Amino acid sequence: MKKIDRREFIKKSTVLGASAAVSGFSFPSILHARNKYPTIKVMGTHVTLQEEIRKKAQHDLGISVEFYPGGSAEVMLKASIDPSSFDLYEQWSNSIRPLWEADAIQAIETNKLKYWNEITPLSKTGKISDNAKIGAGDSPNKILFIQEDGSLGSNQTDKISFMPYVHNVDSFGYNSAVIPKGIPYETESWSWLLDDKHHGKVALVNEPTIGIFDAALAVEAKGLMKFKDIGNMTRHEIDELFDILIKYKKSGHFRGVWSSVPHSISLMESKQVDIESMFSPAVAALNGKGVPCVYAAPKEGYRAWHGVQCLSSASTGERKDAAYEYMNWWLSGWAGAFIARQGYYISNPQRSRNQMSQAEWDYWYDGKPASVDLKGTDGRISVRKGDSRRGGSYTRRFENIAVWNTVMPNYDYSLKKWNEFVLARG
Amino acid sequence: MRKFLTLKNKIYFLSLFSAVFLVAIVISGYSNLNHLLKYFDDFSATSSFAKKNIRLAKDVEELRGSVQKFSYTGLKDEATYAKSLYAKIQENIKQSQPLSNLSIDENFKQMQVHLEKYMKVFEELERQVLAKKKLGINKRVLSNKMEKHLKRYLELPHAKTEINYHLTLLISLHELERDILHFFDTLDNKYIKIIKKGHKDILKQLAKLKTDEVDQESITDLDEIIDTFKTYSKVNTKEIQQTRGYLFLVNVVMAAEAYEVLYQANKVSDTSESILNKIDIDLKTKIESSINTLAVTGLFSLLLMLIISLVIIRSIVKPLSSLTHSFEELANGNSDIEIEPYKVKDEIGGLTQAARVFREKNEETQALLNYSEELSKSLKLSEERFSLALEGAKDGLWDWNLITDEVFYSDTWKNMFGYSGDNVQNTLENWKDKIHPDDVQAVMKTLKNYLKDGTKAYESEMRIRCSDGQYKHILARGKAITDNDGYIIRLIGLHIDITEQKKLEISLISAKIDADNANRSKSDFLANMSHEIRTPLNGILGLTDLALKTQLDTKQRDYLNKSKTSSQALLRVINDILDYSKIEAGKLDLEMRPFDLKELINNIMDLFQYQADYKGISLLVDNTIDFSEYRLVGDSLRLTQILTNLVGNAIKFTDHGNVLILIRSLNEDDTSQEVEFTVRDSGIGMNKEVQENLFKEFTQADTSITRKYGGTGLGLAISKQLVKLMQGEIWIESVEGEGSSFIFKLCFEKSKNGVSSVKDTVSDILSPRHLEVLKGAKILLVEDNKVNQLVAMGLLEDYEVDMDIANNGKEAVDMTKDKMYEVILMDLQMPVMDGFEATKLIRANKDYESIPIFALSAAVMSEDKQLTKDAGMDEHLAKPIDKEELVETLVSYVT
Repeated sequence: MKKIDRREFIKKSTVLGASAAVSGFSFPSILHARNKYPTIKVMGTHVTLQEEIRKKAQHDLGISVEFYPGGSAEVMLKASIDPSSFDLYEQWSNSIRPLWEADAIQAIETNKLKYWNEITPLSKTGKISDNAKIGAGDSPNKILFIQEDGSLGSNQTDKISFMPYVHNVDSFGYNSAVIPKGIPYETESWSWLLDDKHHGKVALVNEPTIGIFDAALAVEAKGLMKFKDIGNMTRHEIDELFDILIKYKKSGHFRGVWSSVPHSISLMESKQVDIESMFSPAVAALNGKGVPCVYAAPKEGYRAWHGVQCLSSASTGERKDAAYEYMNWWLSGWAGAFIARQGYYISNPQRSRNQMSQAEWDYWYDGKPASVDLKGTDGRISVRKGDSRRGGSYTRRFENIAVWNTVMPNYDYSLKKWNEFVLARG
Repeated sequence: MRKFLTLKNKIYFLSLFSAVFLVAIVISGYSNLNHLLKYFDDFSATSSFAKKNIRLAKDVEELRGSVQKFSYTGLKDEATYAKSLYAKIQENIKQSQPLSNLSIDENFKQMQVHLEKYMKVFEELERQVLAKKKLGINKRVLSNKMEKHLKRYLELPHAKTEINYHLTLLISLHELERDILHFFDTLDNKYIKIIKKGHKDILKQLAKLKTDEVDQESITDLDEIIDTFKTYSKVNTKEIQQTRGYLFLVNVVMAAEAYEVLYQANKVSDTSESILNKIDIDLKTKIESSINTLAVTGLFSLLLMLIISLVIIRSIVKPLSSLTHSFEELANGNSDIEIEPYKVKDEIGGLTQAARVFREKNEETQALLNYSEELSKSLKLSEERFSLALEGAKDGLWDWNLITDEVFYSDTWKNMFGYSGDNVQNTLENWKDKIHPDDVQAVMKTLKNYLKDGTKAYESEMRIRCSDGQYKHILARGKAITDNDGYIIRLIGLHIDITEQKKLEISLISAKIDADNANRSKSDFLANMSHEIRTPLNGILGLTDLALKTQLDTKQRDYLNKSKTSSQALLRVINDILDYSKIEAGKLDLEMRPFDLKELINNIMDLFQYQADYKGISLLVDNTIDFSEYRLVGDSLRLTQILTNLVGNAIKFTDHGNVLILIRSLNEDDTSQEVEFTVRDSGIGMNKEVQENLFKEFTQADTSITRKYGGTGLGLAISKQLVKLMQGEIWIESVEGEGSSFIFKLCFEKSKNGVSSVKDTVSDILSPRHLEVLKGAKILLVEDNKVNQLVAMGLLEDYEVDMDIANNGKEAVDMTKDKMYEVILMDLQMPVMDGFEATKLIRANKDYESIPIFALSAAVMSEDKQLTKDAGMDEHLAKPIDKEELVETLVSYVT
């Protein structure tokens, strides 16, 4: 590409403008060009649509970035119906299939991604290491590459459906003041969710593409049923699973479901719940509030999720170029280090390593005890010296993936069952 | 200390104790009942709240059902119903006052939060369902359009060769529609892929058709079909996504919110149920404990009452009956009985002690009796001595015992009024009856007041009837004697004969009345005399004027002129005296009328100009006040009098130089104006001593002055009195031989629309009009004085009036009965019948109700004028009659 890098170009112009002013010339058109910077619209969730990130990107790129954050379902529907409402869409890998099927997104050319080669095998092959067990469901590699026939598959091509970036593993959290701390990967188990000891004090996340797996893992771990492929349940399996769950629900085992991270926090803080599906920010928040919430490392493995950055099928020309720049900026180091401090991983961690202190890298990626107090992105200490990350290093955690968040072929069918579960009362 | 335990206190104490105990029982019972009541209130509030809550949960369930229905049917009515349900739930939440229970409050808060979220999502759902509906319609339109095109295309003759191909296309289309229906029916994900593939296949087939086609018209047709299909497939995809979207909303998002609402409602039910249970248990416990408390306290109080009764019987009844026995014995004269000493010092103890003392003191009483007899004897002796002393004095002593109501009158008292001891009873009535009837009321009032108060000495004057019927003036003096409590029990005093003093006093008072009468007679005399003098003087002046109008030689004229001047001087003197006597008698009233000061000064100048010119002195005026905008309000006549006096004096005492009238404004505001008048001359002046006496009546600077300058010496005294009457002040500044300044200050009210008291123009009284009007006018002159009759007739001689004369009021009344007069001129003071009486009678005659009657009188004071007006007269003309005034007035009435 013979295009001048926009950032460089602007920097040059500014220097030129300054010297021109000294020598008596001026280029008002260039100075005014600031108003004509392309604007990109980014739609997604609060996980990645953070104000600090937007400001930093605007500053670094010299483009205008607008964020349209919303709830998962809300943004998903909006994006799939109206691709012109965004340039980039940032969510989880489980949104890729519907978006692709709806022609809401277009293929991303890997040769336009500066750091494509740095992206770890996890995204490309589904395995972070040779030892790793490949998780059930839509591991990112299965939906990343656009096949010749236009479908999504794992055969590597130079056209991809999303740019891999933020990802993490999830499990359940429990209040260790009530439930004795278990041993990661040994005693901690998804079956705890169905343990009668926690009767009435259990909650699941209200998102069928996620919560269904927490429930399924629990049922399986408890030995109540077995799935042929937990990542692609049959209708029959779904029926059976929900029969069990509804029975539990009717007996009063579940406090209910939660629909937002703050809701999950208040449930445990108010002691309505002792154990529940959880996202890592809630774990941090509860500990900040003095609730000793432990983020379990279940022996059955984690439920993993992979963030996706997709390009709108309606994005073209200058805006499309700017969207590529934004994607490249995300992988250029700063953003990866930023989200690492919130507990998330980036797909090319080595580039972010330079932006992190050794202590930070050791704690967040290597799973070592913190050598000093570590600060979060809000500037407050989020990790005390001596603490170490539950579940160990990045590699260790991603070697233990039970299932990936997935929109299964029977997703639409599961909705009705989910509805029944949610509303079931004793 | 033992005194505290008196019987009274014992009973008080026991009663108080019982009362306190009873009150305690009542309070405890009341508080128990209150508690129970509170529990009951809580119970009913909670149970009604719980009922409401159950209804709330039902409504939420119904709302959810309605929303579900709407999501499937997309019926607008269903959405409206859901919304109305929501409103109803909100209203119910608002109305059901949460109990003051923290957990319930929180539940309610959460319930509302989730309910609001639920409805927010519902609104989104509504949008999506409607959007989907629209898409469905859109899709059908497109599908119809496509089929129409395809059918038309198939009917083209050249297309028939490719019929199989086209049939495949049609089948594919129908299959696609079937798959779409399948998806909505089963919500199986696999259909999405199938549908997508179907879209692609059909597009491919259409493309193939197009490449095989040679006919240009058909190609155009196909192009249109392809375009429509592309849109159609997009709509399909959108519809699928839309469906998935709202299914997610209904099944996931809204379900969770609905569940939270129901969960919270459930929690509230649970909590209120547990509250109810707790209240139930508490209530039972409370009732049991209340019953126990009541039983215990009841028993205890019964016991207490028993004890109290026993105590009362022991400590009161027994000793009382023993004491009664002792008293009975004592009453029977048995003083030998043994009275048991009572140890307790209460009332019974006291009674016992009294019985003992009563017995022991019997003998002492006898001894005391003897002693008192001895004392009475010596008292009698001293009384006799006291009587003797009283007999020596002239004043009568009395001693009133208020308890027995007996009065002791000493012999001197009786002698004083000529009564003997036998006909004087020792009662208060004895004295009261003898008081002069006119004095009784005042005397009794004084006595009553004294007895009420009694602190000062009693003193009162009255007349007392003696035995011979004569009255003596008496001064009564006395002093009250009080008992230990301060009540008056006796009143002792003397009656002193003051008849001689009184006689002296009365003669003094009558002398004073005589003197006052004499003084009044003097004023009356002066007024009468001046009237008596003025009447003939008027005659002289009038006749002199008339005589001067006739043909006279120089000498006669000179005599008459001198006669006129002398008469005028005499009139002035008399006027002065009259004025002064009036002022002195306080009979001078001031008129308050607007007047023009400038005009007034001009008149005075005119008056004295001739005199000044004659003496060769200048008469000057210096006025610094601008009177163009207002007039002053006051008595211009009296002001003129003052100035005339002062200017007249100044000219009189000045032989060369000038007399200056100086008028200065002192203080001025919107409503008033203070004016300083100075009359300065360059005359003889006077020393201090003279100045000091100057304003006294009948005083002139020097007795020789009277001889040289004439005058009554009343002028300045009158001026001073007039200034004083007008609330002003007057003084003199003078140096002997250099001249004098008489200065006075007066304050006037301002009048902006006042009228001048001085006529602006002097009409010609001899104008042909006047002559014509008055010619033959029928006039009745009522005048007793023949001279004045002549004067009046002479004054109107020129006008050829038809004048009759009545010599008194009676004649006038008679004459008016026979003849109609146009005007009546009425003198006021006449023999037989005066002018007032005559006017009254004339007015009683209907014909004379409105005939003008003019009073002719030398009395010219304002109150005189008022009297004539009240009597029914129309005008008041001053004597001596001024011709001009008379003629003008007549003309104004005679038409």
